Amino acid sequence: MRRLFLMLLALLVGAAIWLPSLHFFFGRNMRNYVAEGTLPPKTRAIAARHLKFWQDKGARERELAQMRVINPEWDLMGRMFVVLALGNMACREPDKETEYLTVVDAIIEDTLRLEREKGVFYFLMPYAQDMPFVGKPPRSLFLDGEIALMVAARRLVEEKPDYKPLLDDRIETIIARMEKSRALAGESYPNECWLFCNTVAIAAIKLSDVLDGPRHEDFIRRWLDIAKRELLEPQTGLLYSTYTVDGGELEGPEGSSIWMAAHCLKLVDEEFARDQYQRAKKELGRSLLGFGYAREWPESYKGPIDVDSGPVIPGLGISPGSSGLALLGASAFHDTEFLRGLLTSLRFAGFPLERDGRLRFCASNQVGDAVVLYAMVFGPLWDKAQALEGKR
Amino acid sequence: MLTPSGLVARAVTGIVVYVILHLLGFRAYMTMLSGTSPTGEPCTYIDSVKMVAYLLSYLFAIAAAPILLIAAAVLALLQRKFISRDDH
Repeated sequence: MRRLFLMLLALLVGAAIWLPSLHFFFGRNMRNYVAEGTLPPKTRAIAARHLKFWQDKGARERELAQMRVINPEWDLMGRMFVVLALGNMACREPDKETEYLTVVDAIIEDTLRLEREKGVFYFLMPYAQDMPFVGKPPRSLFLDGEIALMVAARRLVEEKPDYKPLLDDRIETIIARMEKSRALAGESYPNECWLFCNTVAIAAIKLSDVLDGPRHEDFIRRWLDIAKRELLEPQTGLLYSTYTVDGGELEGPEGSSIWMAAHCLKLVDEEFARDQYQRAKKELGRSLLGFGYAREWPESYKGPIDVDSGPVIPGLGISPGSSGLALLGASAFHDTEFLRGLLTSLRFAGFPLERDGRLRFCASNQVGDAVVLYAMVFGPLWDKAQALEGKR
Repeated sequence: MLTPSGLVARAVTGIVVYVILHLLGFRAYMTMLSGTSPTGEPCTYIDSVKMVAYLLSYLFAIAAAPILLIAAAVLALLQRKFISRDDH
């Protein structure tokens, strides 16, 4: 009996020493990931994975096909995050701008081709066709917003004359559709307006104004007024993740939406964006033994688990989807401590695998890796937009 | 099991198993966690076994084995102090 007691005591001491120390091994050398000027080595390796992905058609189609089985939206989102990442990388490394923009243009052209050939539902989940859209003909702000943001980001790095009328047309289509809603809300699915998609669209509209003159300031101001007045969940003060065209709540604040939304809102209302980020961190951001993670839902709100949150670990409420996008939030708002914790978790539970100078996280997929890359290089594109606006 | 050497043996065995599986490339099968096939072909039962084997060996090597090694050292000290020769 004594031996058993001593064994248990020894194991307890071992756990008490090791478990709080484990994060030090995965939290070292953060400078290998987070870009301060040019790309650090691990980020360059993540970028190499994506550059190869978009240059190898066969492998790309195989991986996209597998991802689309789970969620076709991830195909488009992966494209958008890579374009945004490459845009930032081009700003950080002007000598490689041509290389990066070649891939950006290929992604945009391929996306537009698929939209033309396969239609508006190609990047949407099947339930998009279960009911009619409120707006006619059916258009998804998810598609329009992400395409507009990709085109705007490209033009912000370096102007491409062909893309100006393309962006103008897309922005006017977006605004015309959103204006039909009392809440200035654009549908991504039938009578389902996603905060993620609406804030991406707002960011695209803002970039369009920066590029071509402030034509939509009044629209953006009205959108923000309505958001602050009608779309905030009362208990947390966070924006709803989904609402109807009339602004009625469908789902409360959600991790896999709010981090991205706060980062987009930085372009139009820095104070509001920062407030949303800080609230999201308070409600969703967590740390356990030095490993950072994010919940999908606040503790005060019981929301569903869906394909975007990923499998949520019970008890702790760890959401891979929310945690991945929290990287972007932490990077966008210069939250070094939370970013370190999240990166530590990524290196522990993401199973990084580096081969031939290309790094991927095995527990993630192409869109997840694209979010990581974007989070690591985020900064110069938004800074450029704000600097250009300041000059006016 | 209730001896320091037993703990060390188990820890070392677990670490060796992990290293072997890692060198055999089983880490790549962790892509199945996100629904992605590591080979590009549809995933098989054997692929799933490899994924689970790697995951368990990784968690053991990273989290449990060091605890066992520290516990072995602590146990050795405790036994020296609290277990007399007559108890052996």
